[in-house]
Amino acid sequence: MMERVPSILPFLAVLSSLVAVPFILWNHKRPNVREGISLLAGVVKFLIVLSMIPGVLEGKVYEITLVELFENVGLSLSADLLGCLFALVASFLWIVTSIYSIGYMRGLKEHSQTRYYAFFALALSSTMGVAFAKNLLTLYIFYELLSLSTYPLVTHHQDSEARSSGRKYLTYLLGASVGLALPAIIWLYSHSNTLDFQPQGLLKGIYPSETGIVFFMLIFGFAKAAIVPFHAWLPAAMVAPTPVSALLHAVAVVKAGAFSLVRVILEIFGQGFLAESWAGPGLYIATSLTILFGSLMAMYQKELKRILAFSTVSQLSYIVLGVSILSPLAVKGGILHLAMHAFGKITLFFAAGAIYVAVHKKFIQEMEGLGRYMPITFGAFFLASLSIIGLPPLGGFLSKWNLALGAYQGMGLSIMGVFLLSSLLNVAYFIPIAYKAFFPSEPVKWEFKEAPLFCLVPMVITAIISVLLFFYPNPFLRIAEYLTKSLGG
Amino acid sequence: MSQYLCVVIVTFGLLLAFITYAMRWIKIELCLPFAILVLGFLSFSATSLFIHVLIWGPFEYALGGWAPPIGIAYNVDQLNSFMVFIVTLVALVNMMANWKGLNTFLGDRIGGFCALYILYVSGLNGILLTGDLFNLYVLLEIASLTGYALLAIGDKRFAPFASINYVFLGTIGACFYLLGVGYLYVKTGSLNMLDVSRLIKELHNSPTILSAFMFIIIGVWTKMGLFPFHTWLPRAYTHTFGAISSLIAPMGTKVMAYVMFRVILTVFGINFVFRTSAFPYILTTFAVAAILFGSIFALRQTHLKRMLCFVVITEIGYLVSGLAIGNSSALKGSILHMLNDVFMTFCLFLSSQAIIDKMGAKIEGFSQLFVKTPFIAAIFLAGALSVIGIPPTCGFFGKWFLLLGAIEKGSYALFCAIVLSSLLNLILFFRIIEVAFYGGRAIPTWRITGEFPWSFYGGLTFAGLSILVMGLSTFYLIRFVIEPFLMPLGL
Repeated sequence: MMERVPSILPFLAVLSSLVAVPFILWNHKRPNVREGISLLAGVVKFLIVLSMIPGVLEGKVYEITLVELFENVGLSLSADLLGCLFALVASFLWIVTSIYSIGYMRGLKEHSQTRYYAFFALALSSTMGVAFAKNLLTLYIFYELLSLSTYPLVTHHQDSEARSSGRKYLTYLLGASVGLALPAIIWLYSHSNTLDFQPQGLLKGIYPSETGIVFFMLIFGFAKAAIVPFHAWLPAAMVAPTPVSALLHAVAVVKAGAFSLVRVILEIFGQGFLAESWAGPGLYIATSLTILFGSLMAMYQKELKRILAFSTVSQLSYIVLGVSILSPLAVKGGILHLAMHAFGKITLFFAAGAIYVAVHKKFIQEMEGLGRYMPITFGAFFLASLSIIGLPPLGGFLSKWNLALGAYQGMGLSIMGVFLLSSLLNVAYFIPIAYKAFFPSEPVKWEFKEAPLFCLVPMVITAIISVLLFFYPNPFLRIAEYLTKSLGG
Repeated sequence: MSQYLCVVIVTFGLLLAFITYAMRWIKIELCLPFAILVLGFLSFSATSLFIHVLIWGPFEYALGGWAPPIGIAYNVDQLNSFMVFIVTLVALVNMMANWKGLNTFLGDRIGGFCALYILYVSGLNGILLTGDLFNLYVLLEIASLTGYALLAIGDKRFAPFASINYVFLGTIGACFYLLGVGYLYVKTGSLNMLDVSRLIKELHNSPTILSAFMFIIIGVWTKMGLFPFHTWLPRAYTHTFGAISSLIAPMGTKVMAYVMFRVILTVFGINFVFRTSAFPYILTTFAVAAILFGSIFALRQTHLKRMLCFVVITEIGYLVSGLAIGNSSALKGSILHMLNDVFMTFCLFLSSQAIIDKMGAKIEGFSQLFVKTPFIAAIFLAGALSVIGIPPTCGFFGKWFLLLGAIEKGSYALFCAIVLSSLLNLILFFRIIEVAFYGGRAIPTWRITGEFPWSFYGGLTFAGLSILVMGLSTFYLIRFVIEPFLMPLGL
């Protein structure tokens, strides 16, 4: 059924933003040209990814090996269903974020904007590399590049807060990947002599006693998935300018982590391993704890962006938990959540940024009554928070419905209870924000004071898409369904 | 025809060094261009030699037509011809890059310097190519003596003293090596490496052979700068002139590491090392100690170049660890790391020299490095990432094979030491990057010209690219360079 087609397209998708970097640097004195190049690269990248979708849905896999590195392992890219889903989400949202960045960075008159756009383009190239990696080594290479290329973005403000957060960011991400993931990858290579992703897993049913430990070294080593106790970098990374938090810490970076774990669970260790070893229950516990911990922590935050960060910590584990349950519906829900959560969460971040640009407020206390100044922003915020909670008619409902149902099928009430409890907690920390913004305790006059148009339009677009995804969930739903089918078959 | 190249590289190098010096009697300005011409010639010959070996396979060349066990033989294979290739190439690039700096710093002394430089490189080439244990000693002394003289150039207060310090330790090391060779000669009556290795097979239990092994390995380790025989290294490399440290730091220790591999693997054989349980244990202890000591002491340094010296000491620990593990993967890793390390060290020392020129040697003073010299900082960063082991820089791939070998063998002490030192290196370099990135804002200039001549930027570009190219050609290096060396040894 699967047909491997040699094609340069995945490589072009990686390359398209990389070649933009020199041009961005070159035009550092012409901001309009510079941002134009960013946008152009984004559109080209999106179109390249889009052009692969029909073929991929027919069961084709576009492959290219750039250079051989070890015996049986090369720097190879391949665009399959899962990779295309992630690439599609990330490349589309990059365009939106680029537009938003123009409004945000200019609105706040930020410094070093050229560096900002250059590293953004670099980070997107790395993200595409993660999405289209054909084997674990290629994935690891681009994963590391992603950590490094986002460092100057996270620490953009270059003050002492950025310094300590940046230190935390790299310590967690690089420390975990070098100290845990890399040894695990080498162990896998020494036992299977290949690192290619394959549905039945690398180890062919033979699991030495240390396999469980290696499995968890990979799970925690890809710390971008922010499973407790490797989550602390994510709230710290909120010192970044909001567009960075929006695209990277709601979509590209964190989803690269969750995506890597999906690959590891389904295509490195295979379904057989989780089902029959202690690693399965271990992972359920770790992710369930993360889901509840993230949601609970979000309730105690005062800063809006930190609420969103802890919410992301929690939602990422939805994906990992869903996939690790292995029942078809749960896997479908987990993969779908990768996309649905991205659109919802990026809208929330856009809203947080728009509030900051318009009225320079970061803490939720100060946002009482703001809805009357910024109805569009808070309207979008409200819709997106419904999507994250998982209520119809928003895209988030589809993924959470599948997740909860799949959890019930696969594991019974306990895991389903975790999902439902966390959703209740989501309601508890999201709804009051939107409610108080529109209905303050002391009456506030209606007065229009929105952020610049460049900030508003992207936010409205992603909010509308969140709604539309409920009614037209393709191609994400189809990709997720095909994927579960290929797993089951 | 191109077989003669292996002798040409060594003998012409030695002769042309003196002609380079003689150039000063015609006109002093001619010395440096002529030296570059000579290095270019050596580099070209080395390239041809390497291509020859790639196509026609390894060969033995008997000097003066005397058949090997009596006469001196040069054994050229893929690995040592490749080493000669990178040694001459890096020497050439280094001299071209530092053209202007050397002229202004040395003035009248440039003639002598050029002669020493070429002698040093030729000595190293000879060490790499020769198949004769005593001839190796002679060439070792040529390289060492010129090395001492070169290292004495630099900071007037410290460099000569550091060099004298190195003379003592280096001479002791060379003497140990010579003693070991003497023991071997007493027992076997031969100095040819292949001949000795054949004769030694029945004598594995002889205490004389065992002593010879110990003497040679300690001698080589001293010259390599393995902890705890490293004490000469930081001082000698720190205080010397930049262009000299970026020549000697990449090559000196790595060529001696090659001698270690050559003597242990070809002459004694890996089975000799693993005959008793004591040797692997000792080797592992030394390797772990060097890796951890180097990483931890590097953290304590505030002087950039001195810190890099301790990084070099860590890298030497990696080279020994391959031998301590002793299986095919780990040896591939060590040898690959030896090749890569030439470029990594070159990159770090060359860029650090520019950074020190501009901002002083103290790490605290590097604030705004990325804004003031973006290009140099980027090249330094590439070297740093390679030392940490971030792919696709070349440092990653050597470590990969080392760790793979450690897992296959089950030597978890070394495995943990290597992973830990990667993490320590991460802290080490990020300390610098943090200082460079924070500390007030400045307006980026995006200007890369100015203080340094274009040739210097050319050298930096070469150094940065070489790290990537070496990393991405790992597969081919293993297949065409390293495996042909290990295969005949049964590994």
